[in-house]
Amino acid sequence: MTPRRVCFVTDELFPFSAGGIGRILHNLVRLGLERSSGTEFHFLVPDRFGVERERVRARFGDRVQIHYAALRSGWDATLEEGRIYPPGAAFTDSIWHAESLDLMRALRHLAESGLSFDVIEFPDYRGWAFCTLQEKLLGRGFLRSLVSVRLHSTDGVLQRFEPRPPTMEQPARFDLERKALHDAELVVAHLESIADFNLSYYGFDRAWREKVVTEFPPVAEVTGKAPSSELPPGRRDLLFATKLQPFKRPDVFIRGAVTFMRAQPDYRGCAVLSCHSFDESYARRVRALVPTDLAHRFRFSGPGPDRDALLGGSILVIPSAYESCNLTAYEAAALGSLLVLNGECLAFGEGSPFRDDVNCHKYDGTVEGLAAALGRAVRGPLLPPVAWNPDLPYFLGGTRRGRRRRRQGSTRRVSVVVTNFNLAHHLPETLASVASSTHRDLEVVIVDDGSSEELDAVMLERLEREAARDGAPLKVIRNPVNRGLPGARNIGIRAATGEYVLPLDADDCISPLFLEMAVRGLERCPEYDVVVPTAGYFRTDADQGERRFCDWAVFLGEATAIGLAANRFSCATSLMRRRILERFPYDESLESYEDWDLYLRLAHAGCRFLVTNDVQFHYRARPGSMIWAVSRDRHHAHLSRVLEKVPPGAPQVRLFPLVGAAAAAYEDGFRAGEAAAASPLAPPLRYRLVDMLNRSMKQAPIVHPALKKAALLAEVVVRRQRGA
Amino acid sequence: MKRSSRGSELAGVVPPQASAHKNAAYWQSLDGGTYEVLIREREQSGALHYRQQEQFLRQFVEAEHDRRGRDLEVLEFGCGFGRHARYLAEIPGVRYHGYDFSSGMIAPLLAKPPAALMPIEERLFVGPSVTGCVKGRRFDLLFTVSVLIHNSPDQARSIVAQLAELVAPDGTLLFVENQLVPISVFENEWHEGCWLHAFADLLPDGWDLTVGRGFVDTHDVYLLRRSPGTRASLRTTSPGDAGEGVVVTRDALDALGLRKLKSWATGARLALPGRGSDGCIGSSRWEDLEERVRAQRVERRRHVLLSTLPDALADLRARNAVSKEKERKPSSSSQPAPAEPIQWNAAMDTRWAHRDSRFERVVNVFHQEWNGIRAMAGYLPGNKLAIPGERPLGPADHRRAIELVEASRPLAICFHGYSDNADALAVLLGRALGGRVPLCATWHGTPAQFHFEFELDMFSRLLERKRSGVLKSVACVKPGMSCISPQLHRETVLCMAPRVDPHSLRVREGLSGEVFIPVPNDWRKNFYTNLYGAALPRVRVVHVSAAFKLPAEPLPFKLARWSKPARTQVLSLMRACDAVMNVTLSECQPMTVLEGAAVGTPCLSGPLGLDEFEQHEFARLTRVRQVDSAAAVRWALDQVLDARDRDPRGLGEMMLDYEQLVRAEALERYGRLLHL
Repeated sequence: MTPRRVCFVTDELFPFSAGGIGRILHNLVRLGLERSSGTEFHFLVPDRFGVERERVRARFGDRVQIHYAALRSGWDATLEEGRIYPPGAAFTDSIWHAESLDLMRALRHLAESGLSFDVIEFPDYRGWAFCTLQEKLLGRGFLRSLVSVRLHSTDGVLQRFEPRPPTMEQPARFDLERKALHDAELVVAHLESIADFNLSYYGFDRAWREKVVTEFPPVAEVTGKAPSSELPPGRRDLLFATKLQPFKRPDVFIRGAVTFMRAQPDYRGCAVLSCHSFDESYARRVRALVPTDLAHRFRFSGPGPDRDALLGGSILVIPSAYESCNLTAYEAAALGSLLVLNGECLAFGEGSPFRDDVNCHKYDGTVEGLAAALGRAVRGPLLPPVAWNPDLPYFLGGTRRGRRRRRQGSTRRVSVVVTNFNLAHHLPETLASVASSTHRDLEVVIVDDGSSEELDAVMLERLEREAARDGAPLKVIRNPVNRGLPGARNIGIRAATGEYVLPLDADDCISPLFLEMAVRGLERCPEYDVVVPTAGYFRTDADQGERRFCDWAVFLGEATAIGLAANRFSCATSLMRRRILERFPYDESLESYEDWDLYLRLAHAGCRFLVTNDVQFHYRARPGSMIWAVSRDRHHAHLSRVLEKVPPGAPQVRLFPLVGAAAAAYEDGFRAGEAAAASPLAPPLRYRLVDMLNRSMKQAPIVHPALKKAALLAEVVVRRQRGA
Repeated sequence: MKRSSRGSELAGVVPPQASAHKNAAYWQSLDGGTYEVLIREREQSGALHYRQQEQFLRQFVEAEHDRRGRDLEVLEFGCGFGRHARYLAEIPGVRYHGYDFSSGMIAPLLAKPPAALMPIEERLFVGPSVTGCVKGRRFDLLFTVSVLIHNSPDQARSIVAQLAELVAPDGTLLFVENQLVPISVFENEWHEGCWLHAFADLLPDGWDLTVGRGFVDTHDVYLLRRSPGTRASLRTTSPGDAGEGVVVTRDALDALGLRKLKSWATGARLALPGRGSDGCIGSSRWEDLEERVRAQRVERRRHVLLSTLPDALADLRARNAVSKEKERKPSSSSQPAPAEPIQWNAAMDTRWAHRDSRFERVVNVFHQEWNGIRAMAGYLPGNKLAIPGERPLGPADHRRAIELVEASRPLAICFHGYSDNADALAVLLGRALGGRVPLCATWHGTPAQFHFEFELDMFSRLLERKRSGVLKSVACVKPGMSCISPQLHRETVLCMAPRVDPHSLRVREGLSGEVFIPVPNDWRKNFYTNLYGAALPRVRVVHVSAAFKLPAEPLPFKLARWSKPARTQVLSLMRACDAVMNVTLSECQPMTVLEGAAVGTPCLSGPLGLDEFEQHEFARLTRVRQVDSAAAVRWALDQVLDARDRDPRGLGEMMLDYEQLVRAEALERYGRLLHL
């Protein structure tokens, strides 16, 4: 019998790297090896994670293997059925998206070589599960695997607790992580409260909550370490041992300690900050909080070899605003530390094993509260250690497989709505791409939007003749007057009879597999409504035939955050359920961005999107096409109309893109393009260069300077960033 | 054209996938000996079809062998205990091979193989994949008997595609399997599952299907061959039919299969108890099945319409562009008049032609635009008919061509190079002349050129025309081609030099310091290697006719460029030069070598493989082995210039001797090809 195989995708693993995620995975695997003899464990790591196979085997034994994903190089394309994936440079918003793709491809290659997993677990951080989940949901791979995501802490959640530079990368990360969490087949939370928090923070629904399993993790290996110190509380130092990072709140620690020291002159102890610090300017600001007269009682140092002794012999304060599971607290408790914890932090709240005045002292998150709690700790007795029991991990129990998906025959009709305005010259190639589709139940609805060219008239006559034949899979509608793209599309959709609709411009093409795959995806997953193809841009028909693309556009589906500043939902062509389009017709008052507007409304109405990882839509890069005609002023005008419809206050509406856009606007006086390259707030160089190249091609400039009012807010952010 | 419906979704009834796996396990574990006993018992209790299958197969294999006139390589997929191996292996000229994925099933055959199957490791294969087992071999005939029916439609489709890869270019796939049905259905649980396949849905792209009905009472036979044309055809045939069978539409084929489907529907509920309720199987109600067949027909029509539409629109676009062009450029006297579509004995095709009474009444047909072949044909004796290679000929053109040919009272007609126009003309001439006059063809390509689809298509068409008797013989100009197909004439056709100057004018004293490179600038023609190869101190001027980008490194000679020189210009240029350079990467018989020899200028080329002529001292002097080495070319040019400098008379004699020998042999061979 083949063993059960569990694979963790990670770039942290104790004892080879720092970080809580690696610690938990280490403990989970050790627990798994102990509890189940029929389970193999695998780690998939990016190849930059420099740990040799032998060291991993030496640590865990023969039932654990490590695999390396070569990011961005050396793929054997023959194993991928000729799929074309966008190159790294195409991922202009967040490199995490590209990493997610590479990890998915690595998993595919492992599966091709015979190594498929029963469970593939991703961390929530970085949204790495995104591409693998799209593949699974579209029924293109990993069909036997349960793809799960563990709630450690997303970058998106931390964005709420600490300021971030206003770049496009922030909302892109937010959306990527949110989508990976939303799409996951199973979500693992360590505490119910963490699951609830993510639910409300991301605006998920009850169906998502039902996918969450809560299990208390093996937070520390039960080694029976004796407390290292019996030092009475009054003689202990106050210790901050997490990290000098805003959401860890070292500022509260210092202010609380100072307040406590001034109020309790008989206390002679020191305050020690022994931890990592990665941002020197922030560390300076933290140190500056210490009053001169007490400076001799504050010690700052990096973590040292005496960490265990330090933890065991001190009063450990953890003032973090947010933690999903703070391992230091458990570790310190086992070593005999006295704990003073921010009771507002979810990791120490309800459901956690921390009990106020029983095994720790909690406070309300304020400076005064902390000073009072320190008083209680110093004066009180030593407390018994925190007790916990790890739950049996889900992958060892009767694994709750992702919901069994119905595989339905892809026989549902697709209506391809081709809108044409003087583009008949390209119609043969466009229709050929539709006709070569492997999905057979097709209907083509051609809506001519009042073309004036002679060739269009000739071709339309011919098409009308064909359409008049009995049972022809073709309808031709000729608008007596040019109605504009949204109007023409709505007319086509009203004439469509298919269960699914694919809007297609008369000069673009789709790949032969797209419709079959997309229909199958939506049939398998009734909770989704849209399938978004990744787009490749071509210049000539020969290029299209040979799949030579000069640029790419990648999408995130429900991009509710970044989608306020740029359309990262989908290209104009996507497969949608017709009933959705009947509920949400294109806004005919828009001259442009009608697709962006539609997707934004769909996403905020709760519609879900699937995204293909490989190129399935071929966009003709043609001087004179509609997107080229959008000037900056018109862009503002269109976008303000679009954003009017966004429901204010929805949890998934993030202000980051607006702040980012406004900040850029503030920086360069509305000349965002040039400024992006010069601004210290701009994304790293690799993105900037690519952005500059792409900007001339892509469908939407990234900045929305109509948000002048937000510029004021941006100014504040900018000044803070510069440490002014 | 994609004709297969995908997967089993459209097959009317969804076959249980689990059965496919159970099925494989069943055969894997079955012992061939036990199965043989079972078959014998069935035979004894009156099952006739086993004997009928054997009879049919024996006759079919013998007919295939006779048709080809050489040993027939046969592979049976799913040979089991060797029911067919035992008698097929004994047929003289048939090399039988058997494959089975089940070691249990093939065990009795391996234990006691017929003597003709020695050594058995070369003839019998067992393993998980047939492709892996046969290691790159190709077969003239691959067949199955009741094997595909034990596979699901998806599996069967993939097996058929796999087998198609193993068939030699003109080979055949033969399936003796279930009776014809319009949609695939799961038939019964025998041997852990049995399907009725709609074979027209399993056809790989580019293959024709002939359904043979009535050869075996309980089975139909399915014959698959690669389509010669662009559109695949469906045919039916039955015992006693002559020829290739009757062409039918898919709808007609489906209608023929309805009877079997109906009888299945009647029996299905009895044979498949309980299947209806578990979702594994759809309705077996006749009305539902009819509806599914109808829906499939409608969908097919819709799809055909959709797939023909883009071409129709592209055609409209092209016409529109042409009419626009006309509007913009009203025809004026300065525009060159379009070439006459039918050119009979044009000056350029007769001026340099040899005279030979044997060939006076031979008609040589060739294309106006294809310069090399036109030159070759132009130097041959006989009448000359030049037709367009691209512009389609109309009925009036056909009539005129046939009239001209007929009036010349031809003894033989030979097409040099092949095209749609040539093909249409060949068919029409065949009809008009009633088979009195042999029609032949020469092919002017190398297998390397099959990279271009047009070359491959035309070559295939020639073979097909030979097979169907339209052409009496097809010969090649590239040596060594005849091994590709038995349809090809054994002897390589030889080209001959133009009839030009009397011998006395060919010998020229002293070097002019000029060299001519007449090759176009493309990859195959190796232009740049020739260019660098010409860089010798004693070369002052290099004449070129190709457009090209100058390399960064300055060339040590002067360049003289000629744009599209006429043939007279080419010959006089050759005459003025010390040497001609035509060292190409792939070649048949370059006319420049013969043209050069005819005007007294040696021409360098790559090795040509022209039988005994390669040993001629002129060939040894001018053939360059390392064709893509500028140094090798330079060295060879140096040798040629040396020879010319040292002994011009000797070199002249050498070329004359070569040219005369080749010409004499060329005429002999041409006569044999044309059956004169």
